[in-house]
Amino acid sequence: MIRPIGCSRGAASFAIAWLIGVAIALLTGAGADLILLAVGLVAAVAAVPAGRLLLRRVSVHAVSTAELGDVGAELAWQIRATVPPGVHVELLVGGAQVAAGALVDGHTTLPGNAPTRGVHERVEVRLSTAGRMGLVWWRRCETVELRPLAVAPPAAEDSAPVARSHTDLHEAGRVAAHIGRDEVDGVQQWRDGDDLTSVHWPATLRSGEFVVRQRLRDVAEEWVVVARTGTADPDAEAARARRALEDGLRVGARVAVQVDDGEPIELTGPAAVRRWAAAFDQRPEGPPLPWWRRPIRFSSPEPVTSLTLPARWLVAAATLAPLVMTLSPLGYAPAEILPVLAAVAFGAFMSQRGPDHHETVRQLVALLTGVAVAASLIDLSAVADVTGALRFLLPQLLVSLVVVQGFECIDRRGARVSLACSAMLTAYAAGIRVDGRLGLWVAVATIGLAVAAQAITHVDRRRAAGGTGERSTADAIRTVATRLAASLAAGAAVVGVLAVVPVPEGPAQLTLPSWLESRRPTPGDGSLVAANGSPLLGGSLTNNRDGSASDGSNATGGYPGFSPTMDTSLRGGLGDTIVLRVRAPYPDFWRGQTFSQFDGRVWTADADTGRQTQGPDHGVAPAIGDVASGTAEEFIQTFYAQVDLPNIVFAANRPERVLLDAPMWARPDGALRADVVLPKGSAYTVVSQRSRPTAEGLRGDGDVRLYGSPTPFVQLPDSMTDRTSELAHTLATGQTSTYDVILAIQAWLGANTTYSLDAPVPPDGTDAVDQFLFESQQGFCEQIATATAIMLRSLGIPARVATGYVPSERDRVAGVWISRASDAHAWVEVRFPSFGWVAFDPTASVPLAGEATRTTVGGDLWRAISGGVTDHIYWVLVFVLGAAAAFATVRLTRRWLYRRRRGRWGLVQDRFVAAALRRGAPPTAANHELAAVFDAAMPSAGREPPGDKLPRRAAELAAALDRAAFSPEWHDDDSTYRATLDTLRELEQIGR
Amino acid sequence: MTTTSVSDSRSTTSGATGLASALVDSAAAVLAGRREQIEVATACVLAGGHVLAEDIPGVGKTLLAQTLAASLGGTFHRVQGSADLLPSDVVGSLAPTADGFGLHFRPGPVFANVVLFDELNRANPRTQSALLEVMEEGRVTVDGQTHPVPAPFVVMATQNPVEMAGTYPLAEGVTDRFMAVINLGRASADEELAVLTGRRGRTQLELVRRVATLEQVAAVRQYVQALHLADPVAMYAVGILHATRNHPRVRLGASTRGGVAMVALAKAFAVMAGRDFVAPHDIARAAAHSLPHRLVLTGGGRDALGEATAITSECIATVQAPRR
Repeated sequence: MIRPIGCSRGAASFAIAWLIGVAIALLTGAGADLILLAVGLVAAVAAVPAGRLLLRRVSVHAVSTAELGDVGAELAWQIRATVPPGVHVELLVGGAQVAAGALVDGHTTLPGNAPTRGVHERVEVRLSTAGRMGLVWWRRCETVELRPLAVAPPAAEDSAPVARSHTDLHEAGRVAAHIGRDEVDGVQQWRDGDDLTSVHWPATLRSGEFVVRQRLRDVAEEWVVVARTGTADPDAEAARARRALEDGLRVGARVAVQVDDGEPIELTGPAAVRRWAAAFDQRPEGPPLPWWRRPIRFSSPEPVTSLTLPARWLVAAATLAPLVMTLSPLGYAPAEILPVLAAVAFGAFMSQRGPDHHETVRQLVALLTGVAVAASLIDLSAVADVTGALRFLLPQLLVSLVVVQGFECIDRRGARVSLACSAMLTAYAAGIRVDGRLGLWVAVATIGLAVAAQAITHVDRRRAAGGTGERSTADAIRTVATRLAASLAAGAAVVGVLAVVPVPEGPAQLTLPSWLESRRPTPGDGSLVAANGSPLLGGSLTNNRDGSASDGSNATGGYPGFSPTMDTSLRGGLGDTIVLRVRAPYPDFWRGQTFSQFDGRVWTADADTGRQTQGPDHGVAPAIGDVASGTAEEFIQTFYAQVDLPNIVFAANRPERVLLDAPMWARPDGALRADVVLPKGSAYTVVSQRSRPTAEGLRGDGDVRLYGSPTPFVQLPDSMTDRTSELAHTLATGQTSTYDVILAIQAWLGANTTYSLDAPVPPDGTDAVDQFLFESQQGFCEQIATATAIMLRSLGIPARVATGYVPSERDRVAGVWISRASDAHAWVEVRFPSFGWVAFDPTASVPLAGEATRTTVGGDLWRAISGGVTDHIYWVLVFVLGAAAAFATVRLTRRWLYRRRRGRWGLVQDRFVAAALRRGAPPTAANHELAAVFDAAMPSAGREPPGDKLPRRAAELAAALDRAAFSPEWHDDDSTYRATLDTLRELEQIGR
Repeated sequence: MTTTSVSDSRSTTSGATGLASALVDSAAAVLAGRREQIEVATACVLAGGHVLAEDIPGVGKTLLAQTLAASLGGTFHRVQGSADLLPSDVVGSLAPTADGFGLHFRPGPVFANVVLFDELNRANPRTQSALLEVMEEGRVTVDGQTHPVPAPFVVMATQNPVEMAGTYPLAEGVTDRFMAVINLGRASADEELAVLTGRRGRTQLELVRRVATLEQVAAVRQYVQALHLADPVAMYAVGILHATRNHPRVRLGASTRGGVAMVALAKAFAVMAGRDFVAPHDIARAAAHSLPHRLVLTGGGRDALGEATAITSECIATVQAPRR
């Protein structure tokens, strides 16, 4: 039966790291964290049955040892087994362990001890392994027959009672009658105690040494040792009896033992005495204790705790990627990261010598190094408040922990804890990093951790003796194919697990709720300030009416929507720079500004800057037109500025709480402005109350005009033409709800206008909306939004234009939405009584908030992978072909080197061995014996032999090979080689 | 020296092999069956070693020794082991000279080319030790004078493992001096028929003709000793020695002297097979004959030598033989 027996030391730290990873994932909502967690889960699930699968392939053929031993004495045990690498064996006799060690294929000899006193005929073989992952241990127990092993107790100090008697052998008739009394039987060297009268003088004179006659003893001394059964301690009784019997043998007496009142049994020598003492008064073993009375042992099933040197350095190497990927986004320069890596290497160096080497010194040095690393990383002056502490203490302390733990990697447990710390660091870094290389970092860190985790469980991969020297290509391909299939299965399992995991809500009380790379204050009056600190004025861009407003130095300044006034006829060339990365579960409009005043060409933002709060935790009151919807859900977004941004705080509608480490104005028009510009690298978090409008819900509001229309939102420019109004009324005819009106307007625009970034600039003095709708019928988002808003206003429906960014794509691994400079956008907001301001946009691909579906991480990952593969199909093909070619090249090169090293006779030898092994030759045999298996190769009766005297030729082949290998006179010659090859071919044929 | 001139003509593989096969053939003509044992005994002669034949009486141990002596053309002496046999009875002693005023060395029975020591375990340990000295050194020292025994010098000792009463079992150090142990075993029915009808056996002994001169044997011995032994093959021998030391049922494994004997015997086997180098299977075959009597097993069985032989084969099987 195969059953699990527990986990390796330090395995719990992986579980703890995984749970902490779950917490990080929940708090940050990072997709990469979920991928890490899924990888960990799949690895854990794969690690559980690995040992069981391995144990099923083991078969123990025989266990042998000596036949006689003494209690407490050393005894070697030999096991013959077919076994894959990595299995540990324990031998138990009578419930006590007698030997333990690693089991290798073939013969294994283990040093061990003799078991308890008695004659033992079976041994319990306990095989345990955890497979390659080395985490979950399984055990298989077998009972194997043993040649009876007699284990005698050591002779006691005191001896058992002895009855001594003397027998005259002559009288007893044990000596043949014709032999005289005391007849000389021989001579021997003088020994202390010999009688002078017995000196054999002739022999003494000849040899120059004393030689005495050795007489046949007519009188034999007999010792009968009495042993009692049923005593309290039969072992002690046997030991005393042994003492007495051995004393008797030492003085040359015939010894016998009398058990209780039975007949005396004569024992002929020391071995017989030991055998008797082993078997004496053996008590049958009682039934095993019921499981609830057995002592509970809290020990790890892992038999070896030591760490190999390569594993130690691999563990150190595995911590490098997590350290770098954590420290580099926190703004540390390579010069600051290098000392940390050096400290890790130093820790590996200090701990590589094992647990007993200068323990106190090592711990002291570890402490000093940890403090030094922490001191070099932590700038206490930057810690001003809670968020600062989060930013400045947590990751640095984690890094210091990893460094200090590096000094404690003296055994497998320490190494596993170290890897778990690194895994936590990786999860942390995956939570705070949003850049595009995150996937690469996570992959490198994961592979490093997996390799190191496997290396900790060192497996002795000695191969069984015999076999040919080289693995065949088919074997190599099979191995590669198996590993490939296993990796693919693991990958599929990861994607499969992630497929049921929705993108979590995030982020981030834990990681980076707010962070400003640098503080560039604004005039402090709530006005708009460009990223470079200069005021943003509405007219500043109107000079460049040719459409190339931006000079590229300021990626966002080019968008006219981010200024107090917006000329609807302008749009700069914005470029593809990534402006924002937003970690959020859904895509939404990241609104920066709203405009309600329109003069026919230019929208003007409200002058009221609203209420200023100091932060960093800003509560934002509802602005004009917002409603507290009962169906609203909390929607958390963290914005990471990827370029220098103006002091606009982008947020999904309707922001309720903003975590921004600077004073901020919440404007009555719903827009937010910070007191600082937001330089590249800054981050802030917005918690929005997202009303979740759906098509049904919006229709349910019916005609919004019935709820009243605030004047600012139905204001119309003087220049508005009648045909604009007429068109609006025509489109509204027959529509029962405002939502349908909007849809009708959007449908008309879609059918009658075209989206073009090169729309002509309307002539001076004309109405921009009229020009767009009826003259050019070409426009971009500002014009479409403006036209929609004005048509809605002409119907009395409250509407305004908002500007901001839309997310155009998703970084599937980091789980962030990406907005590029060209994603700057303008859209219409219509006020619905149940939902507040609802964004409408016929051009952007942002769904209604209530209809947005949350994707799963697995789906995202799968789309990322499949998208990546289809996008780069040629590269993938090149990579696959290249890998195959590299594999083939390596194989061929190794084969070529092997052939060159072996020579043609070596190859003949390989083929000969393979053919002989197929016929069942012993794998370790010499060529001569290998050839002998072909003696029996004669086909059965009725068939002609395949060649004349094949066995003889096989022997000749073996002799030729031996000559080639060992003869000093040997020289290669072609005719012998050809003849040998012919013989070999025939042998191979009958081998088939 | 005369041996040098002879060795010129003899120290080739074919010459040595021819001599060996002639020795084997002449013994096989007398002794029914037992070709393997004859070959081992011959190999011991060629390798400069001594043989211990362990078997029950009457299976031809003495005959084998006599035949070898006759084919070698050397002198043959026989010593019967008994408890009061003294060292001087074996190696020789000082005897008064004819004029009665001096002493001269009177050589013992060991001064022969082939010495058959029957029932060695009946001789007392002192005598056994004296014999060992001659076997090892090839000379006898009496009263400060050294007397070399004739070359070649082969001791063939027998012991009867069944009748143990009144014997002095050979100590480890004693058995270690013998290059190989052979076990003649009982003859098959056909072979017994040949003996009983006189076609084989003692009656044929007088027909044995000498096949070599002593000088030729000495030359072949030199040739055997100098035979090429490749390093991998030597490693194989070392591996087998180690295997016997690590076997769980062996208390004391083979000594280095055992390894030397094994290699020497293997060289003789190689020459007998007509090879000018030692092949791995020579080592394996030599190990099977030269190691068992050197192993001290744990516990003690009835048939210790048989068990040791089985363990030796087990050890040989665990060591990977070198190949091309």
